[in-house]
Amino acid sequence: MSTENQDLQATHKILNVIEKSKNYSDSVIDNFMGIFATVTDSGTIYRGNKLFSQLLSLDVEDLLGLSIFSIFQESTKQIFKRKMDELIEKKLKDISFELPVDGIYTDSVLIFYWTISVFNIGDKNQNVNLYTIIGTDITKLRESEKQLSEIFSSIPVGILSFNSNGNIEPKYSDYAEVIFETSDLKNRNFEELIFKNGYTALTRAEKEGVENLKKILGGDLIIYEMVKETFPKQIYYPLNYGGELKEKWLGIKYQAIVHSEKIKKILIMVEDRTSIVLSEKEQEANKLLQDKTIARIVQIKKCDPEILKIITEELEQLLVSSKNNLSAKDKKELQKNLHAIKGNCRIAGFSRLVEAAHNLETELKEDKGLDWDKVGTQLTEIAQEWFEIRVLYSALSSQFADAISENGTIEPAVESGGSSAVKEMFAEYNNLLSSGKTQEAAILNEKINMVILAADLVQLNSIQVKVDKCVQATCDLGRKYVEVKYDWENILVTSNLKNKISECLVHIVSNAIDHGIELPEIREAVGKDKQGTIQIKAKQKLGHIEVIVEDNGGGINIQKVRKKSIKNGFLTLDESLNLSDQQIIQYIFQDGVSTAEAVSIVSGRGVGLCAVKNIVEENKGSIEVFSEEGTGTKFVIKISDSHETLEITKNCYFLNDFVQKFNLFIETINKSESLKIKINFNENLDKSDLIYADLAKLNVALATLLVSSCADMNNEVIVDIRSERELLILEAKKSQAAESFSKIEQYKSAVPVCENYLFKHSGGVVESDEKLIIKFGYVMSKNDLPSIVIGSDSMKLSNSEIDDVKKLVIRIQELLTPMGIKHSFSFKSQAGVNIFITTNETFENRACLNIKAEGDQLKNQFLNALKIILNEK
Amino acid sequence: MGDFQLPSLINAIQEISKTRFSYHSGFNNLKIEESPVKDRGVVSFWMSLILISGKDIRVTFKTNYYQATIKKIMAKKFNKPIEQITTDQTKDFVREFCNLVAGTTKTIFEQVGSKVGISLPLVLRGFDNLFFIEKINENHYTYTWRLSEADSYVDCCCYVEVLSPNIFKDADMKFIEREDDEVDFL
Repeated sequence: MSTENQDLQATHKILNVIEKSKNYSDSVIDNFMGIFATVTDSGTIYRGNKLFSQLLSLDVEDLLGLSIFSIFQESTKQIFKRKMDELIEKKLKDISFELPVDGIYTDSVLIFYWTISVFNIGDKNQNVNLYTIIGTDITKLRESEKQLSEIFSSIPVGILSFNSNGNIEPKYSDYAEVIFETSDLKNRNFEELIFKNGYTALTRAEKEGVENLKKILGGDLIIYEMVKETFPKQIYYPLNYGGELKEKWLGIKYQAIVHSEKIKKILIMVEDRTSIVLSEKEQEANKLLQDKTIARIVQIKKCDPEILKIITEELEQLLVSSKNNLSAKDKKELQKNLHAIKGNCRIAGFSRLVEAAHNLETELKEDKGLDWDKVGTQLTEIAQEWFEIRVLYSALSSQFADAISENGTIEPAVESGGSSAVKEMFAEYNNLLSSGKTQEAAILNEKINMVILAADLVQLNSIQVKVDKCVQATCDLGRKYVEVKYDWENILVTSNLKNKISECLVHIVSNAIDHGIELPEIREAVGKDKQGTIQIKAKQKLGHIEVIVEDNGGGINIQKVRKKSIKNGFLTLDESLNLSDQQIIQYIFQDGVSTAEAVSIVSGRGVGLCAVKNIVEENKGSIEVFSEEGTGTKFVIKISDSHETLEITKNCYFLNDFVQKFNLFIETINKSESLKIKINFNENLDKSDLIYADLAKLNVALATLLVSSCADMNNEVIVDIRSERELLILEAKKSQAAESFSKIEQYKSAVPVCENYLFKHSGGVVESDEKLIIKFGYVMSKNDLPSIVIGSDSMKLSNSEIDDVKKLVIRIQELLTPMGIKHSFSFKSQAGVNIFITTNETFENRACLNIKAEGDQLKNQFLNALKIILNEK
Repeated sequence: MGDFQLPSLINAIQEISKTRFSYHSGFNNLKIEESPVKDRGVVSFWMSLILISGKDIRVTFKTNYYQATIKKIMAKKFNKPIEQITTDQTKDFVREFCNLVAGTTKTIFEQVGSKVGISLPLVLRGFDNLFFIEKINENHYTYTWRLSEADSYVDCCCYVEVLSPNIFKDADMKFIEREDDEVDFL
């Protein structure tokens, strides 16, 4: 083979490879899933692919020589030509555009994304341009987009994105236009569109968040993750329509669109939160209103009714004058009137009115130009505040304590004309209860208690009128001259306690005048002023009120008390000899012990002071007497001012009841808050012990303190419950997961109320970094129960035996009183003896010690036992 | 055109193409017709080409065709249904035709003492004609013609580049069909 032939053979082989390669390339183009065509300037097709030919229902080979424009409508043809010209004019390599084409192979319009590129195949003598046209059918894509867009449009959320230039992308959900109330969103700067309107309302941190948003575009994803929490999540978005302001609040969520770890776009989802924000504001306003109402009630109740009556008249006149001053723009007179209003309100203790009047007065004093409209507004606010106080005062003149039924549910005191604010609170409380919102109900319950308490509080010195009348009447009867000096602090007590103290004072003062203060002539004879003096002092101390009644009369005759006590069987002679005078004198509180020689219509039966002691002790108090013959007598009464009596429900339960209810309650909270609090009742907890509490309140208080202090969203928190002495103790180890605290922040506002509740029940909260200890008092062992039933219906007692029983009762009372246990007893007929000494009626059927005696033998044994008890000392 | 006996060469190649296509396709009444002139030679979807090249002359012979035409011819010749004829078979058919034309042409050149070689026949797309930059001057010539019978046709094209015009100056190139025609084919 010649050299030429060898060369030729080698070339053949190369050609063979190239031909195969080209065939492959050609087949790729032929089978390309879009339109492919190569055309001349005039649109003549030199080459097309299979899909293109199929669209035209032609064989692929038949495309050759056709004009591409012949398959388009005139408008489409023009666009194509213009784009091809543009390529040449602008010397572009390619150009892309979206253009719908109709009637290519069906009657429907198809949307194509076209790319035209140009290449020159000419030589230096000839400039021949060929155009490659690639068309991708995006009809289905656009249909999907449309469907998605329809879905997005039906969601009341504006979805839009902004690009690295900070401009809003053309594609966004229709609702975005509704939210921003403009169709002009495309290509708008995001900052200008979203944040400009309410920029001044943004916090400093939120403003930084906006700056971060701007900076993050095009930045790293890691930086985005670091700063995303600073982006404003809720913004104020005011709109101005021809001077008319429309307020909106928008909630915004952000999502980075990332490519190669760089932020290409930010997708934002905007929702209109206006109604939610307004509702929150309304709730806040209601709460404020409620708080204001409570404050007003307290102020009214603290105010002396007489003073209130006087200042009502004066304030009415002053307010009318002030309005006239305002009309006349008489600054000086208005200033004077405001000063007088302020003075009156200060006396009455209406602090809000004092503050409002003071502020307006200050404003009037300033020399700068006065805005009379503003003055008018402030004056109206003062008048409104006064109006509210008047309305409340009128409503409060009725008691609503009666509205609380025994079973703890609340009936609005509609007929009694209770305050509408309180009625609303009652209604809300019942609603909360019926809808199972026990926590909220309990908190409101506490609030109602406070209101009722405030409504029920009265000045202790209001007793004075009654005492004065009593003094006057007693003096008139006894021909005695007595001056009563009062030293009352500004003491607020419940009306119930006031009545009790009043009763005590009436007894003591009557006794003092009747037995203590000497007749004028005797007083003069011993060198005393013929007018006796009784001094009544009262002080409010921690947990109790101390009332001292001191007279400068003849004092108590100790010997007479001793004799009467022995005579009445309270003391034996021997016993009496072993007692000090101060101990003997305390016997004047025994029933039937009186030093009076004769019984007057005022006193002398020895019942009065016994009754006083009973009253005092019933109210967790004590009474002591000090006396010096010839000088006078002093009674010191200490009486608890605990507001326990005002609680809506008060009951006693077995610890087992508490265990069950608390478990159920915690389960409910665990579910609603996704917590894992586990209650572990300690072995030392005797479930047959009794707990003296409102279980609903106790559960709420304990749970609130637990949840607000040591709840953990992820881990189990074990709460150990045990009892020690008279305390129920909850101990929980705190979790370190501080993040989870924020979710249960809502409970924290109720913590002070709950702590106060525990404090009032001899308990409290001790919190350290590691654990939380909650204590609650009023747990009693069944063995400590001072509940005794003596006798039976069939047992008959003689009068003397009944006396013995009575003595027994007194003995038991003596034992119970120092223990601070409230008790009462009942005595049932002569047909049988049933004596109940209980701390609470509810004990009656739950746990009591029954001592029964039947028949004569048993009766005697019983009576002997009684005597042994009585003589055990 | 100078002294080069082009008409006789072209006529010879035309005749060769006609006789070879008749032989190859089984057509008996094949005619040589004028080929419709199209932009830059793109006249059909397919194109087969072969190069006859020596130091004195280079001839590129191209056959532009539509596959449908070849399938019809082949179906008839081989008595097979058209749908059974594949694209590759049509390509081989046309390649073979080009080979036959080139082989015979080579013998003509050799008659006048010019030695040439023949390339591998290739099948490309008609579109590829665009990339043939053909010079047109006294030594470069292009001729096109159509071989047709009834509604079947192929378009032939011959691009001649004369490197040694003197060799062909007085040569009277004629194509004579011989029974024992042999071709030095590589």
